Amino acid sequence: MAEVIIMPKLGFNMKTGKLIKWYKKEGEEIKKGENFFQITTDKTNIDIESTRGGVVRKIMGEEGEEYKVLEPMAIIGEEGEDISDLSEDGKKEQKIQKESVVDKKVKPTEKPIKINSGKNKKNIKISPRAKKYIDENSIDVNLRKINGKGFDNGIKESDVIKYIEENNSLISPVARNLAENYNVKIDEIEGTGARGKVLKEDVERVIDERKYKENNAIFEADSSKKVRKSYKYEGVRKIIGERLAKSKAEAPHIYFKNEVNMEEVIKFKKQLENKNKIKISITDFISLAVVKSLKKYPEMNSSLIDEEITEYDSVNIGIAVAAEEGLIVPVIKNAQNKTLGILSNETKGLVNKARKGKLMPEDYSGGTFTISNLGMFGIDEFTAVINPPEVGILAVSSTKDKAVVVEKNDEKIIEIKPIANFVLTVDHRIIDGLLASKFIKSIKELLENPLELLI
Amino acid sequence: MNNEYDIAVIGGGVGGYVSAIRASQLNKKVILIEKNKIGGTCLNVGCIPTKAFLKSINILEEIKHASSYGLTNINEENIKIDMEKLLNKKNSIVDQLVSGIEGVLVGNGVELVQGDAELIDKTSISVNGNRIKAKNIIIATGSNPKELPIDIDPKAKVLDSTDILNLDYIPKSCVIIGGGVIGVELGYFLKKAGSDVTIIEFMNSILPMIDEEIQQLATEYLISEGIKIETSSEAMEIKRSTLIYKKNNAKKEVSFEEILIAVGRNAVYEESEIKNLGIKTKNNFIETNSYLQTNIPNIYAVGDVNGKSMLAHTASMEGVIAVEHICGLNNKMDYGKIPNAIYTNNEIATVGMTEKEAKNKYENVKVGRFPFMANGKSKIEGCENGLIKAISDHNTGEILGVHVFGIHSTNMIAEAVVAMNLEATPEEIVKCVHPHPTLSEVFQEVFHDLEDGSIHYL
Repeated sequence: MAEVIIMPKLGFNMKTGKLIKWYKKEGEEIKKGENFFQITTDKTNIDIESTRGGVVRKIMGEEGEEYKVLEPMAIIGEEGEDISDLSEDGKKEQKIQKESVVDKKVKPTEKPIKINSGKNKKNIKISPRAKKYIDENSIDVNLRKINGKGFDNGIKESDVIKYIEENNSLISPVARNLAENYNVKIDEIEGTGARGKVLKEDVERVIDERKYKENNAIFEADSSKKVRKSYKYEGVRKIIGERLAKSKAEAPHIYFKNEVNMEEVIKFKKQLENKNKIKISITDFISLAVVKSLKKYPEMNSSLIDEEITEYDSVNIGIAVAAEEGLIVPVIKNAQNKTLGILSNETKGLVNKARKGKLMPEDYSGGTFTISNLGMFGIDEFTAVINPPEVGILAVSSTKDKAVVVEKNDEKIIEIKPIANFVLTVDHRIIDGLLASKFIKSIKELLENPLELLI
Repeated sequence: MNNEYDIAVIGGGVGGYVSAIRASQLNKKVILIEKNKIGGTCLNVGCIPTKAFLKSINILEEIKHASSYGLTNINEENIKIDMEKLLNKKNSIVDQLVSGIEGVLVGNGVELVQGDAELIDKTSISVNGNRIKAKNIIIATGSNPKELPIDIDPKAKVLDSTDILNLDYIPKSCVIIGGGVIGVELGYFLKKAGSDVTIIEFMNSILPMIDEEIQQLATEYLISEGIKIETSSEAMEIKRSTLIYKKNNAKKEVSFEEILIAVGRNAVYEESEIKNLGIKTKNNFIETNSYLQTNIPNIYAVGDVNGKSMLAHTASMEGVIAVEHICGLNNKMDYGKIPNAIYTNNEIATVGMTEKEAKNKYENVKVGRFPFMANGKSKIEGCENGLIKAISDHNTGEILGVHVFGIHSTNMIAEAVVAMNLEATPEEIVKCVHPHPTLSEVFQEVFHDLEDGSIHYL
């Protein structure tokens, strides 16, 4: 039997989710586990899989709209199946399984508000937002005439707006088509036809004005720039951007650089791999070195929130990963208790999840320190912006062969060694230079003497 | 004072008398000055008389087909047009219409004055020695047939369109210089009335303003009726009974009994008066804006005198718009949706852009067609030759043009005019039930064709 798909609650604090896009249209077939739609929470875009197979019978959620968790988004059922009973009053009311867990199968609890209109006692379903819109704008409208596109043919806010637009404005069919083609809002056009009817000419005037403005704006900015494309600063990009801007503006960043000789850790990695037949990455060794150093210098494992500095026993290491939609930082929780093997496995799992866009909010929240490793991209050296409310971040560059001066038998000679640049960024409000120096030195020493990592 | 008016209209043709009636309706004190006859070119020497002549031809055609509908004892061979009687009929139609208009004018409280108006200044006119003051002046003085600036033998029988409408006999042969609407309609009449007709056209086709496909059909049809058509031909000299013309750099000649010059019309106005007032002209027509105002804000010019479209129905709409503008209603004149009607049989009726014009202006143009032969009523009428085509902008559904070559098309084109002015789209027109059996069904069909294909044609 058909099933209502709802806006999932992905974590304790999630109150609403913004529907980004549908992967399926009404009438299309969908398999269980296939991506159905994408939402964005305050942190990331998440693909939501279908919890059952069948045919997409009805789509209620609109792309770009924000919905409360548990609000019905769609109905999946069989071709031709009667889905009207899914919404019959009370009859098939379905219980939420568990509110607290991340669960895509939870069923709707919020029933549409019913209001009686005039003589006809038949119920009309209208969403709270639509009702609010009508009340706030003192709209006098016969609800029966509005074509509800929402759950159980309930009237949504957008249905009301559409109805008002279509019925309160006189507009010629050609003008309406033209306005739609150019995304001109009908209620913003001044009609010059009989009784204020909007004509093609009126729409063209608005389009011309818009083009004039756009052309002049470009001209004012820089007439030599030809625009390839422009798009909205929104979603994950905007979240990341705003967070970084805030961090850089509020936290005075200072930087500490060390060259780390990676010779021993590379050797050690090979030995371990040969012996245990498992693959451990250099990043895993770096993570372990950072975890150990954080344990040694707990001031580095802290946060500054609302005038309060908190040091943590838990070392939750964030590892910045470049994913398609931007930078994602999966977090390995309680790394202070984990062995190299476990650390390595967990990191692998989380990075894969991140690259597929399947990270759950708890997978990337709660970090206490972050490592950004661009070693695989051949970068010589870079600095990173602190991920607040953390107080430090480590930027790891490529390991490259370099001529270095080493002491052998009391003699200084030049040798070729694999060297990587480590740059530590700290929030100078809390961390001073001495601590930062000790901290990065500790990381360097651990990596240059990897046996100590395992102690 | 008695001789002060809100609006003075000079010229009682269609543009002028409609202005006067509309002004009265909007409670303006209005005077209409006409030096000749109310009704102007249209009623007296244009639209109405030519169509009266052509009606005679249409009856003749019906009679020729009568036997196939079972009517017997008709001696087709002996049917002749008695031009004297036809002139009487025409004159009685014209007289009735003219006196009808006069009645409507008087009934609306328009003051009618017969006389020659002289523009004195921006608000003064002199008529028959009396000075009239008017807050606004509408110039609606019309046009006259153009003369041809070539050598003409004074003994040659040269006519213009006005002369031909008073002709009391049918010449054995007639050469017509000019293949526009007037030349084609009168040529068609003369040919059907028994004259040997040759049309000499300067451009590379007759009816050059018509959609090319329809123009082609019309040309083929006229040639099949026996009219000789010489295009890309320039008249050089009119001798006593021969026209010398140049075609493809070769001198040619054609002989005639009468020669008709129909090469367009000139605006009628007194040049010195227009100059004195500083009214701007362009190509010898008075320049106007979309409210029919001249460069002098209280002086308007409607109808042929502004040279915009030179059709009676344009003039009457211009009159309405000019008066409404004077009264503070700012409707604009839209010259893009004025229908054209050409009364050969088949008739030609068009409105809006030609296919070529549409494709030049719009990226995504759709063209629908429907032949009259697939329409039941056309068969009944015995006139299956015909085509309707409609052109739309596929992006918005806007109807850009409708062009018809077919029986009674002039009576039907108004449907397209209404649809275009209301900015309707093809999908809406196909939803309008058209009565059956009528010729008007071709409209529904052509818009069906624009949408998903016509119902009654593959």
